[in-house]
Amino acid sequence: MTFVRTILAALATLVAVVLLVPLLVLILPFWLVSVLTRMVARIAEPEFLTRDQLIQFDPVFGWRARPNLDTNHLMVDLFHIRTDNDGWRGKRTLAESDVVVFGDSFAAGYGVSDRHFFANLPSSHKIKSVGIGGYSMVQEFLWMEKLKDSLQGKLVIWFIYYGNDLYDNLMPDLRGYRKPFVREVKGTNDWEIVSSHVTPDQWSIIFQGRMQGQHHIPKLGELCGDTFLARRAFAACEFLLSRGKTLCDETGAELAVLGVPDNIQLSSPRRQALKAMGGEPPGFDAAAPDKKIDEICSALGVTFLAGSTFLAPNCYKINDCHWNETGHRKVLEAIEGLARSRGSKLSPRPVKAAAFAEPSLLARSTISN
Amino acid sequence: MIPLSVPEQDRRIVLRSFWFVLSAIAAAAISLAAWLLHLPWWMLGGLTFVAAGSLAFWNGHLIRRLYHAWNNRIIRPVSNLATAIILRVCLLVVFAATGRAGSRLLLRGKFPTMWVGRDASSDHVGSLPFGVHGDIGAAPHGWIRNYIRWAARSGNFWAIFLIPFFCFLRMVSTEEPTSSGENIYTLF
Repeated sequence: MTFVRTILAALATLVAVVLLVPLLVLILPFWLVSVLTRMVARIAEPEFLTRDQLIQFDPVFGWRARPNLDTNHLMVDLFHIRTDNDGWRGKRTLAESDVVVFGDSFAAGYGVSDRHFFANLPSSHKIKSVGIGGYSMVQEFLWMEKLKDSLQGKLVIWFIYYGNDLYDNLMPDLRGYRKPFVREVKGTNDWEIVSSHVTPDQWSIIFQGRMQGQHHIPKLGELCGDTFLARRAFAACEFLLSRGKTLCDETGAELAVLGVPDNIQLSSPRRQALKAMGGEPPGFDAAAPDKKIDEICSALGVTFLAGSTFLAPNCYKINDCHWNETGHRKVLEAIEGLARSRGSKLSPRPVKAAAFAEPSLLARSTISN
Repeated sequence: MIPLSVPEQDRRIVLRSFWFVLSAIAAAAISLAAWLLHLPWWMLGGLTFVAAGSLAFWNGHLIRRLYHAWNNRIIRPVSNLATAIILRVCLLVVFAATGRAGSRLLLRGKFPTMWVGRDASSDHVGSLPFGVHGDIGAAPHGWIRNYIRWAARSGNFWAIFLIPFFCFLRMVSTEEPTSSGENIYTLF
């Protein structure tokens, strides 16, 4: 019976395939388009590095950028990336620059190629960017400390991305990568930087969502409300900013802070989504990070510029949190505005008011006397 | 087997590749028509390719829209129709013919049921018919060998003749092959 069944199946398959030949002939051109598109793309696509290959372990900072890269990185799309001897992007050296930007992937210009990167765009100022993806303010401050001898007389602009920096200041890891963080000193109101746990091993206390970074926007929602997390995060932020201010004062540099909003904070429907993701926190205000950091900077005598005053949703990439080419041009304009107002005690020129930002946040210069 | 749809990831290089392929097809069609009409076919074909292909550099937004329209408006309906036809032909021809040989289910005497005891040596609630024992993750790769092995082991030699239909169904599908994308995401 098995033999008969097999013979029947063979004959029936033959008949069926003959019946399907016209269909397959009709399908073939469409299929060839798919095959050829993939083939041409594979041949033409340059080699690219993955996240792990862009960074290397560092016992102080958790990770740092790999030096002397001239490669592509895939993040939504491919972009060309070149790093100097220290691993930083930008064609200028730290020594020759008059503006130094500290930050995370925004400072590192993730998402755009070198020719669109704000630090490489034509400008009357020489800008050097010191930053790499995933850094929190803690790591950025540690870099400031390490490079303080090179900062003398320069304008130091600290990018604070609200999407994760404020929350990650408190966390001992990012996606399993161990990193320095800040914690309150027991029994005091003071904070301290902790890095004793930083090793190359993956941080073990982590779950899938945190590994993939899915918790960051809900946490931003919490930070926009009157929550325990928000109080801790802004206290930690104040500690770091005051340390940064002291360091810059000691080295003769001038500190300015640029608040980088997430795209979700920049339009009304998205702000509602942010509120929902944050668990409808009491006193929700999407502009809260701007307001809180403005207060902190005001008390410290640091210039603060809210990114929400000149960045619009069209400055961000689709399906990714970083700036596109337009965003980088806007950021350069803002940096130039900060540099122009430097020392003149004049407000940097506000580029455009965001719908939710209060006039006091448009741009404020509080250079200490 | 490569699916019918173009890749879901609409990276610049993929969009341009897609557009160059379409431009090349259009150029070939124009060249053929020109040759039949005794016109300078190489010049017309070349001009068509250059004119159409350059659009990929001028208007990336338009190309992106056309790319997604190709997948959503053309390929998906074609795929659904082709899948339905292949399945119907398979059912009405192969299964109908094979069914003439009678049932292989032995539900009498010693084996009144097909229920089997749970395999306590593994976590699986049942054995995978075509899978690799002990490693589910390895099953998708080299599935034809495992499938043939299963067919021979279970006496279902006839099922080997279903393989061309599996290939046809995969060819007209719009499912992307699973890729290890975890490493392409960057830190914030």
